[in-house]
Amino acid sequence: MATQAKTLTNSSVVGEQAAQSGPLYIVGQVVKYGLLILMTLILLGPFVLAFFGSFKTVNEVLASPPTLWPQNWQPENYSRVWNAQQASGDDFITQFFKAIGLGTSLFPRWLFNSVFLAAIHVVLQLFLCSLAAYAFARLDFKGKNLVFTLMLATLMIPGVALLMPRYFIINQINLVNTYWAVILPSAVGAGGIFLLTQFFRSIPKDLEEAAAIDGAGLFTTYSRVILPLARPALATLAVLEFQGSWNDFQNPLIFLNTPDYFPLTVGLSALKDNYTSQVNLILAASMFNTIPAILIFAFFSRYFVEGSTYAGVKG
Amino acid sequence: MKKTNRYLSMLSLLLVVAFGLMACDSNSTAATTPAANTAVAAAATATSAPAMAVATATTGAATDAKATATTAPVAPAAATDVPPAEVSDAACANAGTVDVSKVKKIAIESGATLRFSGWGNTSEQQVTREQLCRFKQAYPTIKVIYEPIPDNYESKLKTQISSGTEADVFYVNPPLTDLLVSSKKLLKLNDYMSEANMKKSDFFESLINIFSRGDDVYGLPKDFGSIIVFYNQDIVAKATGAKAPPADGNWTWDDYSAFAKSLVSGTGESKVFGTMHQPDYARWLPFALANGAKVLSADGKKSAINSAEAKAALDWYYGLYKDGTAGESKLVSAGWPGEAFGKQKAGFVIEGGWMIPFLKDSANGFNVKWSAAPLPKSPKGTYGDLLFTNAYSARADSKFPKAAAALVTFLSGPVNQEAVLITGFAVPTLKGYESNAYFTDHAAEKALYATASFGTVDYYGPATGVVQKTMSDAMNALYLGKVDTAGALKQMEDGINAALADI
Amino acid sequence: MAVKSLPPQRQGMKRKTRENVAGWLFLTPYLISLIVFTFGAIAYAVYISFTDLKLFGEANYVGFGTYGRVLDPAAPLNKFWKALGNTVIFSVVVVFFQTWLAILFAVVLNSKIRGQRFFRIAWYLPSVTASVVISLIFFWMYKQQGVINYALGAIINNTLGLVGVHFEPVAWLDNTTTALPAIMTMNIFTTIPTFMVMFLAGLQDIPTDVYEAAKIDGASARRMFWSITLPLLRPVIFLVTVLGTIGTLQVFDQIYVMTNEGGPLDSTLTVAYLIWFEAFKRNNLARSAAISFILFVVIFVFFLVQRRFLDRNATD
Repeated sequence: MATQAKTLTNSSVVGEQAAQSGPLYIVGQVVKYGLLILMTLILLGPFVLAFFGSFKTVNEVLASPPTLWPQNWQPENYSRVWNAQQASGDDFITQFFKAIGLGTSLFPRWLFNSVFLAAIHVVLQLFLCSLAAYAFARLDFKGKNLVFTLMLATLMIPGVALLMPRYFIINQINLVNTYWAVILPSAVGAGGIFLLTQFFRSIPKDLEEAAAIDGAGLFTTYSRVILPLARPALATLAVLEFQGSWNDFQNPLIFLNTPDYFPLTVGLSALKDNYTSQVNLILAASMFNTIPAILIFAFFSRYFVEGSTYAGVKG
Repeated sequence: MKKTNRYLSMLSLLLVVAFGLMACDSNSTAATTPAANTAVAAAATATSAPAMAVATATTGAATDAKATATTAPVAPAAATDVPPAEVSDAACANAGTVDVSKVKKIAIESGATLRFSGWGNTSEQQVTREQLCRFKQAYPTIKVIYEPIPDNYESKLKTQISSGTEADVFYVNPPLTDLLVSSKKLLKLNDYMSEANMKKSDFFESLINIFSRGDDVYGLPKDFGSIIVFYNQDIVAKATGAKAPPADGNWTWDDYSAFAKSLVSGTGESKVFGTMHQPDYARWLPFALANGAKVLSADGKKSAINSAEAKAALDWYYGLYKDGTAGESKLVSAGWPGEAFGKQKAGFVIEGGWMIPFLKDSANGFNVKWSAAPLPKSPKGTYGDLLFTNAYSARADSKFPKAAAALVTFLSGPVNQEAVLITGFAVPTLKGYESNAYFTDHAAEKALYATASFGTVDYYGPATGVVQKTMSDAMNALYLGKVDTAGALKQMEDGINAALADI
Repeated sequence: MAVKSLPPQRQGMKRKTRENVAGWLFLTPYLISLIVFTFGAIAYAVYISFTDLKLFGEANYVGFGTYGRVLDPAAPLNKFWKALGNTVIFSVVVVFFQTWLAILFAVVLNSKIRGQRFFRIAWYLPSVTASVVISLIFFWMYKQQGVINYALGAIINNTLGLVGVHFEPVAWLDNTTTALPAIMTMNIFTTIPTFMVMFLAGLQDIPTDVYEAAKIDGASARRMFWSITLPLLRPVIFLVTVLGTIGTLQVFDQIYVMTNEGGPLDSTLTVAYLIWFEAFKRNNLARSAAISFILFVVIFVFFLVQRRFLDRNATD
């Protein structure tokens, strides 16, 4: 496998002139950073507002003109959200949480459910989608284009139309109200395959040809050549699928009955009944939902920041 | 390389964990309750109320559509912080004890396990759990698994029913009842009721008739909401010549207009309106109904809204808006009249029981001193109101029909309803509580309870949603100046007839 | 391996068969999932679209009757065409902006700037939040005296106000003209970061020596962008456009949360919402299924058009 490797670090040079000094350059920098900050304000603005809003009373959240800083801090909004619901079942996860002192609030359980479902989902997606993507991107087999188009076509069926038929199928195999009901149908999906296929297609073929000459089989090429090279793509897929699973609401709502199994999105929706009258609680709940996701993204983002390294064949 | 092995081992580890967790399936015990302190300014009169104008006024603060979408009662989290509870029957202590001797029990199957579903936010869920605790006192051998559906209730219930996996007992609203009775999915309750010493006539006619077909009862009303007047006592006190409306409801439309006018103050941004008259059918219709108007013909096949009685009501209702006495919530940058009232931008509003917890919960930050009174009588001297109600029903093919009926009859029975009344969560659907001690100090609940005897349920057959929207759209057109009141009523008539033709 | 010992011609054929088999083998997990969870559901939905099935009722075959009823503009209370118009406008505008802005953001964030990592994480925040949550936040912000009007008022009145332009607070979600654009803006806002992330990954795969060679040849930054970056990003552009189109043509969550059954007088009614509405509120499963398949055809047509222009791998 070891061809001569030349490690290149990537960084786009678009927008980067050879370093000039002088007033034009400084103005350019100011404008550039100014725009960056403006965009950050625009993109982050709603969340900052939501964050402060989650500490306000309903009256203040709805005040006009709107205020930024809460006049009366109400951290009890968060404890209300935390204690919103108590466990109804008694399985060993509930007992575990009780044992470590988190009481019977369902909130940590919901958080755990979300993390668990998302983690499994991501791992399955990474594995199974990359298999299929490799086939589409690199292998030539009869009916490839047809299957690819069919696969994309399945994305085009509005999900909402398949809700009842899918429930029927899940019920037939007796998986309703289990974690599997949420995991299995989405374990491998057209979206993920499509994404990885496009990325795989842009990986230069020379390495695989080198590997083939060295006698590598297809699965080995897949696992030892393509996968490592596709790190940015895999990281992208991981992040997106994590986000998708983390924010999934409709599926767990329909397929799960016991509140103990709900992920965070469904559990917190019980606060949503009067969301115009208890906006502050909803915002607090939203913070709980958003912050873990952003932390996970921050953790994985280093795959985007570091340039991808790939071994090139030195001609 | 090592990476593949890493992926593989990670995957297998996760799958093993997953299997482990799923193997230990939930053995949800009976509905247990948190040690909730719901006595404190508890949740609202829980019904599919046309609650707040969730989205905006142009389509007529159509709260309703959203409310019926989830058919969720509008009960914000009342209670104070909930301390973590033991998952055990000891937590039922807060439910109070039930005088079991007062409950006429019916014969049930042995070893019955029931699943029970309903909508409701967290505070309603707490109240429900307490009711289930009381049930357990009366019927200790029945195990009840509570499966609340926090959102999209209708979607989920319909999906479950189409696969036969719905709960044994669940909440229904009038449209659901229509659908499920005609497809024979609901248990007929008459025999069980007589066994439990309950009669159809124990309930208010308008409420129980919606869930019955002739004399056959398919659902027992759980609670109901309606529209009454909530007024700001401080604004009333400060206004010259303003007299608080009488607690017995003996006032007229002219009194109402005068009252509203007397509460108007200020101009421009700081204007305080007398009241809020939203272009929302659910706020105008009570007055029209009181005046004798009807939405549909007696056979339910044609519109009857375009009548002199309705026009009189609409002229009067819109008139107060036109001359600036009554505003609408968006004029004072509020999302719905309740919010406007909370911000003290309206002297009084016409809303339902959901206002009670909204105002009472000090954590919401509204400091309004308020009281409530019934709506005035019409120029004809008659009363009317719009009722929003839901019921408990049992599935026809339940494995434990007797136990299911026991649950339904208990929850809607006198013992439980009185217990619920005292928590302030809802008013009973049974007759005979007019002189209950609870009403002495609770003007709003008293006024609400009284409406059941003369109110009409907000239901118009399978096209209800469209009918409601048509009426609100027409009112919007009126408020935007596109039509006059006669034109608005004609628009309603045409729209309703089209809706009825489209079934 | 055995392959090497065969004569070259046989090697080729054996490889072809191996590839054939391998191709299908690699697809197996996906195919299983597809067959079990998707095909059956789709087949059933197609079937009921040819009937008049209502919820819990009986299914009677009616041929294209249901489709006809859905497509008939004269049918009473038929909102299909309005919904379709809203949906197409939504999709075309949103996809255009989200794609180009995502490329722009990705290019900016990929260049040498201080705090690159911070910006990348911060800019991703809108995407990482549940659409329901974002809808709630924006719903609150779009109120007549909410934050957006407040900010716009502050900016406009203090700048253009000097020349007499005054900004009146707009009830964004209440006006038939502004409701859909307001939701579109929110959608663009939330999806740009997701696609930006995809473009970032795509940009990583472009080797620097290509740019270095171009610079030596004297190419300007702009030229490099149009002639190098964009063409090399083509597969990702195709990906983003297709996913974006598929997503926007199915927009449902925001409408459900932020509007009342399709917004002021149906101005925000989308086809996906109508599908849900017909099934779960009007209890008309057949119509819901028929609308679903009409939407599918629309999406598929969009896809074919995009593939024709954007996918250099299309062989048929």
